[in-house]
Amino acid sequence: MALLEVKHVSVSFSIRSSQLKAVDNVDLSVKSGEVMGIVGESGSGKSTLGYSILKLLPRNAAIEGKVEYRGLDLYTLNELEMRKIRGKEIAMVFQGSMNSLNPLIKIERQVAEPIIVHNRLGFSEALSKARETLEKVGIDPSKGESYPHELSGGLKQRVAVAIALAANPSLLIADEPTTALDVMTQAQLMDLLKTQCRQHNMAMILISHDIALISESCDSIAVMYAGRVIESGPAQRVIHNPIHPYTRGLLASIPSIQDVGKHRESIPGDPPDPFDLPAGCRFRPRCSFATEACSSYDLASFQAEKDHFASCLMVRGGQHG
Amino acid sequence: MQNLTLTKILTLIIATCVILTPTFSIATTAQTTTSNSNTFILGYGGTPFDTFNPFTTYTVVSTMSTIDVYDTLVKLTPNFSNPVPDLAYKWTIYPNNSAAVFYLVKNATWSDGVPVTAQDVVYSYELASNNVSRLQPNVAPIISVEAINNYTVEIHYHPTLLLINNIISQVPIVPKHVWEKYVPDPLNATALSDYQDYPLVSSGPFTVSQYVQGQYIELTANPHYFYKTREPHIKNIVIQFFKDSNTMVAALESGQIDAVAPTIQPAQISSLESGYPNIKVVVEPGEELWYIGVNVYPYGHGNPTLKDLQVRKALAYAINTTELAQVIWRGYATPAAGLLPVGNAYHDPNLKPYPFNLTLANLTLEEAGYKMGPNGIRVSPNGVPLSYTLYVINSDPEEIQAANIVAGWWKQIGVQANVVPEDGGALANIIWPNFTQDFDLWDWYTSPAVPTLLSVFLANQTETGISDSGYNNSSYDKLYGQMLTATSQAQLKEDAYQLQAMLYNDLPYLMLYYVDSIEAYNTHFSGLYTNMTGGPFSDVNWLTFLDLQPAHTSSTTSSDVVPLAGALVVAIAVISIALYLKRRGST
Amino acid sequence: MGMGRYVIKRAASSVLTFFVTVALTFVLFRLLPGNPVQLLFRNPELTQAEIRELSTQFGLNKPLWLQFILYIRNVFLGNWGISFYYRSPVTEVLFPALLNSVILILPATVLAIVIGAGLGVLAGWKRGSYTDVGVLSSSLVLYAIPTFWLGILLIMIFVKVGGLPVSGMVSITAVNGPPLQYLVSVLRHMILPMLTLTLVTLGQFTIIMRSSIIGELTEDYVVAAYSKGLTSSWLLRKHVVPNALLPTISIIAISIGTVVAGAVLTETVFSWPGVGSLIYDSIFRRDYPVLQGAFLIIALFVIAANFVADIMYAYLDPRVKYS
Repeated sequence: MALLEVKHVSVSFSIRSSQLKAVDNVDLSVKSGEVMGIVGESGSGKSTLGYSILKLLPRNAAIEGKVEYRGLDLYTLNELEMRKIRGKEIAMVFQGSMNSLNPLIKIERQVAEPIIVHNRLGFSEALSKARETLEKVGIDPSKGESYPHELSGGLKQRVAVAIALAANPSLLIADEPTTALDVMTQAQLMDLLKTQCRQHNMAMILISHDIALISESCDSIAVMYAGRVIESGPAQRVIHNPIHPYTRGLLASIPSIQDVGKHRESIPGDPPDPFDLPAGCRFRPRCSFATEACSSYDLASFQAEKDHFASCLMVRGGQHG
Repeated sequence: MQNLTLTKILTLIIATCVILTPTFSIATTAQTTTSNSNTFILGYGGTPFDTFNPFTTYTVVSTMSTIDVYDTLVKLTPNFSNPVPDLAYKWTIYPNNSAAVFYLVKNATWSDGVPVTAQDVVYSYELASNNVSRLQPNVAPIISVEAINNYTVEIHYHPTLLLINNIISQVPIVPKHVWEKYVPDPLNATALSDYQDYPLVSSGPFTVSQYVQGQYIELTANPHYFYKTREPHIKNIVIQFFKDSNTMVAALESGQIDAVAPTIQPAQISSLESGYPNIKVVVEPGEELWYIGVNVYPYGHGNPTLKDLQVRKALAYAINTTELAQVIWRGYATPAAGLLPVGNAYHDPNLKPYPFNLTLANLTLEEAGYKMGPNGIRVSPNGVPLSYTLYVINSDPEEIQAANIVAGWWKQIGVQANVVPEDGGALANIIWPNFTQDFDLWDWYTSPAVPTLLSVFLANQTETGISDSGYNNSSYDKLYGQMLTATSQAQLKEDAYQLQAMLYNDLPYLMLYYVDSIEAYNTHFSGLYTNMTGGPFSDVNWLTFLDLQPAHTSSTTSSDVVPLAGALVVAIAVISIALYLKRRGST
Repeated sequence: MGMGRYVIKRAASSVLTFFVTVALTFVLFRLLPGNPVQLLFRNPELTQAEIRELSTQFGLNKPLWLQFILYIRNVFLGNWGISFYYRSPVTEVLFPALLNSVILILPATVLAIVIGAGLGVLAGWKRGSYTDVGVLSSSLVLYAIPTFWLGILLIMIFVKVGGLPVSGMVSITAVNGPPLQYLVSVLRHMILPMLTLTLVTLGQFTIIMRSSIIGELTEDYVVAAYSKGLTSSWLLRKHVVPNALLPTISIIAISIGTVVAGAVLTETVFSWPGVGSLIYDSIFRRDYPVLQGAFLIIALFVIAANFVADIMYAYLDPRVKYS
């Protein structure tokens, strides 16, 4: 059984008098210990999808579908039950550019919080465990008494990771964890995350716009565009055999040292206006392979090879996935 | 802040209040402050109490409180025409009206047991003549005060028939042996000014037993009072200070106090009379008069047209004092003519208020050469428009209304008056020393026993900041001097009438009305002396406190109705809130 | 800079502010039109000699700067001057009134803060719900109600219903009684004015706290804390309210500081012998010594309260010291 199954999940926001569909009928499956990467441009709905798993979205968001964690549909749970999931079973690491640490509370206490709440430990016990967790993420425990503003960006992100790991969750959702960090720190942080996942048999959903990062770290990849998953499959297959023109475009745009000086391909055009989506395939306006049929395409997904799906009419002889 | 603890704290506070409120009500039923037949509580809402020192106080409440505490040599009858014995049981005023001898009772004692002697009298009169004493102008005619023996005092003075009314009945006798520790030299201004006189030692029918600043004064009957026929019939009198007349009347209605002295508004009378059968309202002639002062100062900087008598006459014809008295004071004021109010002993009943006649007013101005200008404002032959500023003292909102009404009438005769309310200090600054005003709408309080308010119009009072009209008339000054030294009461009265007639004709003041004194009391008490100017509770009425006693049909009212229903409702509300908060806290 | 140096720096700044305030008020009072002597003694029989004498008494003849210097010197010697009106030392006039005001206003203010802030937290947390709307509108209504109107209304009610005294601070019979009776009497007299004052004041704290909470709720770290699975109670207690409280500390400090200024409307309606009505009356009487003394105390307390607020802020917010 998969650890997490996202089934036909859609998220709409009521903005003034109109509805914005940020996530449209998404299906995903994550196994225990698996690292799944969700990649897409900004506005693709990937972060929204991430938040929707833990029901962290604001009040004007309407969610449809099911999110099954170990078979339990999280959307049927009330607040009390959901609280047992958050932090304990599924934890989240937020974007580095966000202010996810409370400026008035010492970091070790912030790490201790999930421990106190979920592991029912007393304060001093929880604190020592928190310090252990800090050490695990590579922070000197004596720095535990510091306040967030006293730490560098990289350290703050490590703390965020420590907080997420504190109660030993089975699934970690990391939303752009390395944005706003320099390349060296980025690499360190990714190493940390991967090590922790392996050590604790923890699954991770890694959300990022950086296809290079995703390709290096993930077991499976889902590509999102304009609210839909347009390609998904094992990382190696998607990277070496991309099907959807968008995916191909993304991969082609990864720079490498050898390519310095050479003209790099990029995908022409911009993502569609979410209030005014094109009929049929949403990528059609930018796609060099678009045909007449694409404008009436219902965005069903076709299987290209084992476990590798794409929502594109170019998949010949495909079956519905 | 913990949510749960917050709930707990709130619940605790509210619960405490709920539990304690009825508890207090029950617990203190025994110690009500009402209708205890031994104590009479009088509410006072006027200018706050300043000091007990009778020589340096400027507040009515202080003189009212001490009128039956300190004795004088003689007191006045209720119509102010004759003296009655007090510390002096007998006296002789020599025919030359410049010497008098007073014989003191021999059994009067101070509240500390020391006998009252002539030395106390001499000392007190010296204090009265101190530069900072408010009685200094009164005792100005006195040349000497001597103790012939321990119980006889001889006074020499510049001849004046106002000796009794203005001096002997006004100077309180204070204990020398107590005061000289603080004021060894009675003429030392600083020492007298600094002496608060509390706790005080007195000889009168009451003593001051307690004073709490800003709250109340308690008077207690003096068991050793020498004048046996004037012993009080009540044990304690409490004068409680109020800052708001509505609250004061509410306290009277609820039985928390037994009477109210000034001030209560005419508006409160009808609800008192109709709603509360056991409360009686007393209306008597008052000591207060309202007027519009006109700047007639020869060296003033007001509008020069005001120096023309015809203008002032026209303005007087254009004020309907009858209607104003009705509108502003709901009829509890008398339209004014002469300077001295209707309750004053020297009021001239023959002077009638100027008639309200707009036609006559217009005619007067027209004939005097003030032609109507283009914008409805008359202009003098010299081109000066009849456009004025009418300052009003802002202590009474009703008077500002009065000013506006007057301005309305004046508009109809081509006179423009711009109404500007000011507080006392600002107004005083505008008037003195440069006399930059045109009009000032203000009031005076004057003792009903003497005509000395007339001194306001002496030429030398312009520098002292007393004369706001700047009236400068040498024949007036001469006549005033004459009045002071008149040799017969008839002459004195005649002079007072003549002075008032001069003012009536010259119009340095446009008189408005004399205001009644309005007081109310609970009929659980009787004996109040009401038939006197200023009503039962004033700074000249020394009889009320002496005769005051519980009425025969008195009943002890229970003031505390335990609000059980109220407490129940509050309790239910509190419990509901607490439960709701607890429930919310757990989501 | 370290905490110690910060404290010293703020203390020095407070002292300076204090002196400037005192000097300014000294001058401003003297600028009011009207000579106190003239005003107090509007007695037609007052002679020139008396007026001169009194003016000398009150030192009004000396130049302004000299009056000021003499005043400051005397303050430190404990001589706060003599009231023009009462003719007693300012300390004797002012301090009892001050005490009476503090007894009434301090509990009322504290209660208003506690209840107001509590309601504000409730409303902010439940933003948009009926609770929020209810709390917000009632706070606005309470804030808008004129103090004297509410006071008089309560008086009218309790005149009919009975049970509570409607004026004064203590009943005459209790003043000489045993301390417990005195205390109970004062407490009974305190109920209505305190109720009035609390109701009228709590609205502002509710509104401020509510905005603060709403601001906090949009912060990233609140969402992040939420994702940890913390209970609402924990979130409120540890993350939202303490952070929201920080900006309101200044307002709370100033409210406590101005307790010594009295509450003139409440004191007038209930004839509570406090410093608010004393100040009000003294202004009309141009009783400079009393006014000066009162403003000295108020300046002292408000500046001190601000100082405490600054220090508390620095203590509570770890980011401040390093500015």
